[in-house]
Amino acid sequence: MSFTREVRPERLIDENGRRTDGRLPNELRPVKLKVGVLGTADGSAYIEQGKTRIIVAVYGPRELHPRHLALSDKAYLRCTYRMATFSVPDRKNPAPTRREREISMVVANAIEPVIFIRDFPRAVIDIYIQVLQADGGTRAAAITAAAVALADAGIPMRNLVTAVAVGKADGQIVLDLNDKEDKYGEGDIPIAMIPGTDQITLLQQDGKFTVEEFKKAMELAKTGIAQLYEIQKEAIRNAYKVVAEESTSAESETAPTESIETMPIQKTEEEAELSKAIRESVSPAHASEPQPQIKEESPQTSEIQPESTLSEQKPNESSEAPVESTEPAKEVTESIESETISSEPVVMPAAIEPKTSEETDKSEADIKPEEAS
Amino acid sequence: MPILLAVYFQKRELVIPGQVLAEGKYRAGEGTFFQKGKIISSLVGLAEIKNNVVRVVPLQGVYIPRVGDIVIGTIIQVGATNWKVDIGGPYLASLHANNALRKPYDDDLAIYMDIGDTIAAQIISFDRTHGPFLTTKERGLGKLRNGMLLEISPAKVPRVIGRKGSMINMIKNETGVDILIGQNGRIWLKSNDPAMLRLAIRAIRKVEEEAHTSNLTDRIHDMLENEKKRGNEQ
Repeated sequence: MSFTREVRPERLIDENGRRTDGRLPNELRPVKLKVGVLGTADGSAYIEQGKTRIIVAVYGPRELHPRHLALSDKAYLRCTYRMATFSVPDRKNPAPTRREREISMVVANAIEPVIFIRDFPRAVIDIYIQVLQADGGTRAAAITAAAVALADAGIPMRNLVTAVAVGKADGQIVLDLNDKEDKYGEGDIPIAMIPGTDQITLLQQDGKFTVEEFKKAMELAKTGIAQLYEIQKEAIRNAYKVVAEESTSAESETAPTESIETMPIQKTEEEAELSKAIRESVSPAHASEPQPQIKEESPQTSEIQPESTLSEQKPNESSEAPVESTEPAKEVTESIESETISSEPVVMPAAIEPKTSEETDKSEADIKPEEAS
Repeated sequence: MPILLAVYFQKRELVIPGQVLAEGKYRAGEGTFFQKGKIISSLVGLAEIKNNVVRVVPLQGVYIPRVGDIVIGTIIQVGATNWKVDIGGPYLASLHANNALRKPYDDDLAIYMDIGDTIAAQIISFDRTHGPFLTTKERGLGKLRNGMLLEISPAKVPRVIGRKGSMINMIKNETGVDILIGQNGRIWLKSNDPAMLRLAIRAIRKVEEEAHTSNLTDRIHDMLENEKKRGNEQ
């Protein structure tokens, strides 16, 4: 029906080794991930991966209707993947297709292992995935976005899940397929993994791969997942930036050394070395990241995790996958800053006894639930 | 070989699911789980450590019933021997007439409490397969009259109550409004003075918004004092 018929490009990889969109074979598309984009959903996320654009909304755990679907030992994870009628050049019929139902299922299966689903028997967790624009790799992008939307909803999870598609174009193994490579390439392998582990939660394959090619594709996918994981973490931190800054900055103003003092264990240098080594081994995503998007500062004390400084840092500009800095969050910070300044005279007298007043105030949050009246 | 002990977060640092928080002799509290000797966060929230228990204070989340909680709910169904009560969250609560009324009671339960009525109740049992079941046979529980209902995020309820009720008692004393907080994030307010009622609502909303900051009780106290002064001048 379209006036210009899409034709297969002569080559998917040119003489310079560049792909149709100018990327190198091991390069991701630019990724933009934003958390908390919807007001009414319990959790939400929006992802742009190249020209692929997806919005994910999460509701729940909530009451399940119809009731007969309820599982008595765990929550029902209901995932709905839909493509908008305008998401592809030729209008997509809005009726759910077999493909959409399949992707709904595999996305749910890819995410279920990380959710503490048994904490919520008889309830449902709804994940709505709406593809606004499809340009390849939608199921992988949907999983990446759904994981952060679930975290945004406050649903307990063991870890995030990150997904990427790898494939074969003009005989070469390439990372993060776009639509043309997906359609005209020789193969496509979407992979979802729990980052920092070797656990795979989704593995599908189209086309033919030799064992060698498959192993190479797997390695490439791991590098892509490591990069996307950093973007996911950054997106969550950005969404809660105001909370993070206020909760720790109030601390350091009044009692800068408290965080170190209250650490119950005095460590020897030897132990510090050891725990540093452990820290690196437990979070390989930081230690052995192939293309770090965020400059890591050297840890200041043995207790402080290098990640603690990330929230204040801007993503590297040259980074191929810039995380959008959330402007609204900035505005809120400013308004709150001005507020804290105005209330400074109030804070000062309390600073005479910073420890006690703060202790009481902080620990207010963890009092036993009790009736108020 | 020294015993490995380490805390990998700063006090009240924002953590995300999957982040390793500590290892060694610590115990895993709310919002965390234990895996292969490490304590890992399961939520987006603020990490803290107290008496060797590592926990993550959640910033979001729905209400999950716990036995003993006081909740505020709305009756949505009247049965032959029980009421169904919406208490928010994924689970519909049930209040049996025996747990609400003195025998003998009328066959028609709607004459006691009808659809749309707001009640305060306590959760007496809840497990994987049943419940939650409610009771209103304690003092101060039962049908709520002549008040208004305010809804906040259940994750912020502990902050609104404060340590041993410090925050909510302060707001009550300052405004003179009758306030009942349900653990499910519903707050019932009652007052003859609309200005004070509005002020109390503003204070609670402010606590909800700034739940993660320090010295909040003092700031709310000052806000209430200032507003009351301004109200008197006008």
